[in-house]
Amino acid sequence: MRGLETRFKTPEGSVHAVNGVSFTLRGGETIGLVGESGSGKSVTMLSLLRLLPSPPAEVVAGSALFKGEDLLEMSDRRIREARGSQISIVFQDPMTSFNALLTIGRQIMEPLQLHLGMTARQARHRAAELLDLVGIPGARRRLRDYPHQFSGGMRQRAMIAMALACRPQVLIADEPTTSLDVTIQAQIVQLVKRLREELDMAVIWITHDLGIIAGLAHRVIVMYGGCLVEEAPVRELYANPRHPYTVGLLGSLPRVDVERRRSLVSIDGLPPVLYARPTSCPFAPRCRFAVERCRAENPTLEEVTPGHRVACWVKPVAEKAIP
Amino acid sequence: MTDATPGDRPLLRVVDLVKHFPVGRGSLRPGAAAVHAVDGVTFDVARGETLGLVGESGCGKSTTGRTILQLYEPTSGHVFLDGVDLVALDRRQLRAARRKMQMIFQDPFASLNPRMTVGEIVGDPLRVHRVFSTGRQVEDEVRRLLALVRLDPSYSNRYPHEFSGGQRQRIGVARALALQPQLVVCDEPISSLDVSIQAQVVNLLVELQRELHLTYLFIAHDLSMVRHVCDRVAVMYLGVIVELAPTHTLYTGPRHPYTQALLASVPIPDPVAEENRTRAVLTGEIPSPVHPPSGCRFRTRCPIAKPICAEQVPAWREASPGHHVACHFA
Repeated sequence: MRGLETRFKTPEGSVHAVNGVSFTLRGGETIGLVGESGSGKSVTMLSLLRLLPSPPAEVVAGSALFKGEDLLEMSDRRIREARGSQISIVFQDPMTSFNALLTIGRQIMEPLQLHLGMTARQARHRAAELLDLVGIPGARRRLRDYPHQFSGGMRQRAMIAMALACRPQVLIADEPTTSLDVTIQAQIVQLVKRLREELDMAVIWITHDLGIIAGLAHRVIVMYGGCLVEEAPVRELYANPRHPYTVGLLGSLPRVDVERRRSLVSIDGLPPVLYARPTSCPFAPRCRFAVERCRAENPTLEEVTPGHRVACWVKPVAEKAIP
Repeated sequence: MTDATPGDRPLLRVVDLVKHFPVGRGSLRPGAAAVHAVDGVTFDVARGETLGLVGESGCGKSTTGRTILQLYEPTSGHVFLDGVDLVALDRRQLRAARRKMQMIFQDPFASLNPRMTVGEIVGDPLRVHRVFSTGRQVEDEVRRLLALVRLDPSYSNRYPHEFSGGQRQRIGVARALALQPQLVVCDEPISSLDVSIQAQVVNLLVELQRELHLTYLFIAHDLSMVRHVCDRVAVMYLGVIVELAPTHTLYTGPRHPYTQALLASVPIPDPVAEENRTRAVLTGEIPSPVHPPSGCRFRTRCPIAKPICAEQVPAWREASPGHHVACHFA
């Protein structure tokens, strides 16, 4: 993915949601894409898959090469094929992403028949296998159920089953566990970890939760104000965060395995809404390390150690962000 | 930590509190099916203390909070606030008692009336309870309250939509504190906020507690935040409390298998710690609260359940000083 820029036309003006994001996903790898609401993390992925309604959204620059082909340039037919069979997406809210009027079975069978040309009988058999794979008891029987007959955790599993139907090479998970309880969340995380190995699948896990990413991702990308501000292998990011925003985020998290600290690090102020391409660091107004240059020029990504890139003019070495 | 010395009367004493919601056809007839949302909950909260009430969605923690405040009428049981049984009060007496107990809600978007200015919202409890005789006094008090929650007092003429989630939650806090309550029930006060904003609101709640000697019942599902904020923690499952202990004891030596599983499920923002964790992932989901399992309610998901767990409700016992648990094998 190179230089992605996405904007939204609104009555107040053009909102610059993604401002030049580049990264590489290798086969079989899991990337954690971290950011708060409005950071541009979901818009980045939806742009990549061409799932944003246009207007108001407009991808104004960038390319996304998937095995040599540019997803942003493909014909509508070709991108639909790729989305169904090679790249799949799981959304946050499984209740709204299923069609409430069709059975779960029918919805899992559809991509199998459409993309793999299976007969109804073959597709039904495979759909039952898939529900079984994601740990839904009595899979064959439950194909006849409607989405409302499943609990939240089961619907999320069924979503994953549907996403896996055509054995995709890339699974994009957009906050798939945010609305679930911790014990169910842990089940889903275990499930995805198992499946990515069994199917040798690359995963992009979009989240605001630095906790869940720690045990799941190989590499982490942190977004802020539509920009990629830091990227590093998972251990490196948590041990040596260099962007003040990443440092702040890690400091604002209490830990279940650590005694209470005096007070949490809070990041004052609010995330920005950008009505123009940023000409200064988007984090500068909230940053306690900001210098003159940060307000004059948006920092470029710089590699500080192999694989660890930071967009910050100061790059402070934090005293450990985690106690 | 708590200011309470042994022998002090707890500010809040909840005794065998029950709240059932009738469901389905014939729900008005006696003996009809009911959701056993809260099914016999007993605990104390000392003055100046923060008691955490944790559990997964549907465990009854929010219903417990609302029933304590008499926003729901309890099915049975008692709630003593400063020695007075709220359940026995008539409407007029209850209205007076409400001054001592307030609530901070989860959703700062739904809990503030969009047609009222911030000044009207925060001043509303003062007007309802006729705390002051002139509007001028109310206005002055509103400004003081806004400053207390670190908001600019000049904001009082603005409307809620002009504020961010974190600022709205501060407005909710100011409203809750207007009547100078002793007990504040915080119902998931930060769970709808962005991560970097959560810390702002939690730090504010902790500081205000110190300044105003508040007592908190802190209802949450984020066990990391609860460890940070609370003095003691009660764990609920399917309408009952299964374990209650001082925070340090609960997090370092949980005795109930559910508490153990819950703590093991919380992700730690540290890849090294995550790798070295032994993880017992709980299987299955919470059973229906309309027909809770016999005996121990957790037995259908419990890794160490034995036949006795289906036959007998485990007794609530003190395993070590201050550490209570309800499990046959803990």
